[in-house]
Amino acid sequence: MHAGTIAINGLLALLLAPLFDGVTRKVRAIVHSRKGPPLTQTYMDILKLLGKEDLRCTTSAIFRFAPAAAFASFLVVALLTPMGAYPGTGLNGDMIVWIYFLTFGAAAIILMASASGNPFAKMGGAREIMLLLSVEPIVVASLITAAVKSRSLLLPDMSAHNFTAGPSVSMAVAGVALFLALQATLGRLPFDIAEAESEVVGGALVEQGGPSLALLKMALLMRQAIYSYILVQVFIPWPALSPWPLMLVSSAVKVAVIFVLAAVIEAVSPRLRIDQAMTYMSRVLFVALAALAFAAIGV
Amino acid sequence: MVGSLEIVFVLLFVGAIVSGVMRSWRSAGVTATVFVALATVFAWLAGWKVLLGGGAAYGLIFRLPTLGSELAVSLDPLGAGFLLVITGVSLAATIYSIGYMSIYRDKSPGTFYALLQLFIAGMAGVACVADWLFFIVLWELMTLASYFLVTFERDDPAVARAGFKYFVMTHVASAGLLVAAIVLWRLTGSFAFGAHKAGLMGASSSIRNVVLALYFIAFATKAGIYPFGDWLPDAHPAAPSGVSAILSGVMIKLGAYGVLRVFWGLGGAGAAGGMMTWGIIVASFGVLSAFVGGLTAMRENDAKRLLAYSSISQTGYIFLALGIWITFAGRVGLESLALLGLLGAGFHILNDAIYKSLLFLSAGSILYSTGTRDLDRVGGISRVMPVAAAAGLVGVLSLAGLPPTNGFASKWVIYQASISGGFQFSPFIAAAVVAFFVSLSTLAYSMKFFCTAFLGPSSTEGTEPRPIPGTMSFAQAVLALICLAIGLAPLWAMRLVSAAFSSSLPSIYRNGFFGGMSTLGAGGEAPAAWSPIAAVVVLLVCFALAQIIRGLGRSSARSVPGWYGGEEHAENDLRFRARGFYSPFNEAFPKVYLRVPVPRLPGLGRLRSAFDLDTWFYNPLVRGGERAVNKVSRSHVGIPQLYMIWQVAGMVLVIAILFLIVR
Amino acid sequence: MSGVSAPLIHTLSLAMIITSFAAVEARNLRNATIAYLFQALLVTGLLAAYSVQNPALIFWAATALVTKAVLVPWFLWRATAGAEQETKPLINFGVSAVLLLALLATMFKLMHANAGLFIDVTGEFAALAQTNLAVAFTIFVLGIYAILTRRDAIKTVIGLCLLENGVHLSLVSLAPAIKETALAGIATEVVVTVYLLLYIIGGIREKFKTTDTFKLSELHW
Repeated sequence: MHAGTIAINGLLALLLAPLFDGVTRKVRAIVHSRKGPPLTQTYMDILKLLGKEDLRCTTSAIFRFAPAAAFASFLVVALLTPMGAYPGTGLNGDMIVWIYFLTFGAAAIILMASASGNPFAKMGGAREIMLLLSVEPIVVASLITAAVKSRSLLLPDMSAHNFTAGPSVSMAVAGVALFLALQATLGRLPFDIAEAESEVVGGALVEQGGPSLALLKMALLMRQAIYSYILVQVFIPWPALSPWPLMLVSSAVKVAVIFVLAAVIEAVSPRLRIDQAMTYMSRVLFVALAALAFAAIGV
Repeated sequence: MVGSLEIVFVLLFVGAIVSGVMRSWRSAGVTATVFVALATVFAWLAGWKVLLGGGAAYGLIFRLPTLGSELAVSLDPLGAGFLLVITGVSLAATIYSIGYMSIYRDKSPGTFYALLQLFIAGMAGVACVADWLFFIVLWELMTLASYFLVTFERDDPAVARAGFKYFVMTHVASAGLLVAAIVLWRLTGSFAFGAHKAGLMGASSSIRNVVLALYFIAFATKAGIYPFGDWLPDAHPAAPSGVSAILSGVMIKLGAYGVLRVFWGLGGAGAAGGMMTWGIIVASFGVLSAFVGGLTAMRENDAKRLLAYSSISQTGYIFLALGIWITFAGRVGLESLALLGLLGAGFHILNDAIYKSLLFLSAGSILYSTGTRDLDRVGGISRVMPVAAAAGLVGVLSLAGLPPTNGFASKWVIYQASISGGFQFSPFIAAAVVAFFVSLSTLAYSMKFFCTAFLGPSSTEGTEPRPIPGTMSFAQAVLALICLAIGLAPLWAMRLVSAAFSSSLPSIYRNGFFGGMSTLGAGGEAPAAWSPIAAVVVLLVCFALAQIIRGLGRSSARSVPGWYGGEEHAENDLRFRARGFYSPFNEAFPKVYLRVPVPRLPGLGRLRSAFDLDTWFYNPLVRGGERAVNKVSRSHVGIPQLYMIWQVAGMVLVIAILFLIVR
Repeated sequence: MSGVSAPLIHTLSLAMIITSFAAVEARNLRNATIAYLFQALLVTGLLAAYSVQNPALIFWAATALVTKAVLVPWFLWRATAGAEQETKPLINFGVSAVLLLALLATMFKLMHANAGLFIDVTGEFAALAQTNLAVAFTIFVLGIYAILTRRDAIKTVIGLCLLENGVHLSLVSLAPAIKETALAGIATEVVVTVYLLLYIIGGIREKFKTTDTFKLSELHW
């Protein structure tokens, strides 16, 4: 456990996630030929939400504490993600812990949705699970490919191996698969099925208001940042810059580029139905499994 | 303390007789609980001593020299571990049953509690013998007692059918078990575990494979592995909930215990090649079970059937880990991989026993409280039973394998074993990906189970849910606390598991800061790390941070009704039923679970027609001839693929014959 | 003679098997054609890689590029113009995928172990020749699997093309001294066969309004 890395990762996750969202909104506005909100708009939105009334439709304890639980678990995942600081992760944990804490956050959101009793929320929760079922195997397959190449389950080892060994066929294919699945992991159009505003009125978020909504929004933004960081750090770690603050900056820049790409795709896409999304994801899973096959023969 | 082990069985038998004559459910329940508790205390005294001391307990009862067999209470660390789990879970279920069985007002309490104690005695006996003959005898006792318990509600025809299927399938499998034991007896002249192991290692490979196949099928049937365990989805829901908890929590694990006993020490110089194939077979059945069980559970709307399919899925995980152990056991340089697999299997057995029984007790609470198991019709039960709901939440999180519960700890070891094993043998990596997918589907159906029954608005159909008695909540709470305790300190629990396997844990894991653990990565296994206490502490700190951030705005809270698009709706229209969960997913995956048909017994009417030559000799002969001729004509259907298949088959046959001649 | 790198061969071979798998399993016939196009390109790439040790194969690679990677996919593309979705085969995707993977693994191992029956396994490039033979046999088996188990007639044609690719690839190891003119003859034979088959299928579609082979059972008792 490295206290310095914990602090840096935590600050990065908390402070940069809304900034990336601001970048997304700006890019989307440009594509739509609008001026768009300023880059710091998301910060102001969250601060404003903190001051609004917290409307509760049920007295259930799960409903009251789940937003904080989701926020906490995604923050812990951020502490487990290598973001370019040295040494790799703050907490002691490998890729399995990383994936399961992400799932813990998702479970918290689904429990909160069910506790609210609102059928829109339950539907959103069920959709979230189905999307998870389609997308997470791709993330896992890509990370296991990296594990096979680096002979280790620890995320910093995977990143370091990719630096020293250079690009390889299996890592490239796995990176492509993870990138194709990125829109779904980020929960953006065409895959924002779980929070579809026009279909399930925000899904799991429908009954949240005020500070709870602020916490949940932060949690979801942090999740998006985490997935982008994993893609960048494990699959596109070059160049290796020597004083680690420079590495931090270059990683953040790469993640921002990914967010711009995601925003462009989001701005021009319709939403897919859940079964269409599952068909698309099964094809991407095929690519991810091909990457595993390449890693198994050693290329 | 040999004396204490025999006392256990004496207590259980006496308890069966004493509670067998009781008239009221209350008194029978309390008496049975007292006897089972005493038996558990003595069993734990002996078991912990053997487990921690590393010795063995032995007490001869009688010997059958002509058969080379002896009935002795013999406890080694592996048996001790199982004995502890068996008695612990059974005690929790018995305490639960005191209050639960009051829903069976018109049945006989004496029969139930007598059978229950005989059942527990049978299971404990299976863990305490070192002789295959008496192992089978006690195995049959256990199966018989459980059959009568499963068919406790005999009047319901579905229950009777489920019991019949259970009986037939288990006995066919046990027949195979007996045949295998007798074959080895002919080879070695004795029924002792050690002698049979030596016999297996020395036998020719064809005999060894046949014997291992018979053993494997028998134990896989008991464990509920997919094609063989088809009795599980019908039998476990049919039994009363306390019994279901024991069936799913403990009796199934005895199938894994059998596999452990049979394959123990078989790896090594002589049998190395063959064992790798067996390991792959066991692991393949495990992955298949996990996959089929997980996907089918997602479609279920009956609380107990969902959990039964879940048992099939979790047993698949255990057999996957066992397969990894068998594949790498005895291979020089890969002992740590084998140990990882063994550890994963043992740890998952322990954890699954605890949370699966907890979940079946939760399902029983749903049934007790609302009178139905149908998840479509229940809702919001957590209001009347907060303790049981909290325990159910812990159980569901453990089933889904989320940190920091014990389910995550054992799944972590199994994933590690699978991926590290995959470095040596690639298909295990595919097993890891499938296992992860199954874990996600486990999250899906466990959320479905908990969210529909316990959360949300109260169900408006049928009666208002009623609260459950304290004994039921107590049993569930204790199991939930154990789940959390093991989840927070897995290294301690893993040390116990490895003591059961008489192996040394420090060769793989080293203690980290803050109670964490990391692998040494020396013997072929991948470096990995996990510190539950540190993670939980940080999680709580982040949770506190979140609550602080939330309070920053000093906002007020207000209670409002739910928002449904601004319209007024009838209560019933607003309920998102259990069958709505995951319907696109279920439609995408066609029925993966194919049932095994069990023939019905023909009645006596056949006897009359036996004397009519026309009906049973001449006519069938003519019809058979006609059918054969028609079948031949069916080979010309006009579909080109069929003709091509004939061509290819013929070509392959000719090539194969040439091959054999040339070679 | 600079050796041809084993990792390159292994990568190309595995990619070829993956694309063949996609060509067999894809339900959309246009996607299957694209997968077949990639497979043909990979075959050409493999031939070019082997030409490092056998210069005559360059000509073979060039012919293969034109016939397999350009002409055949173009014919298939035109043939699938109207009807893009394949008639569903009897075995569904999951079972078929598992079956196919098991079949491929066994066939690969079988051929790899017994390659000594066909070629000289002690020579300089023996290991590569062994791998090549095993991969070619695997693709051959894939082609036969496609012909036998797919219901749609166009998939049968794709299976046939895969079969031919497998056979031609095995020629690299089995007949290293083959003349270029013979290779050109083989290539044209493929093109002519495929063209004729697709012509027939076009006629069938006109007459029967379907390419489902189960419906072509007019000749039976």
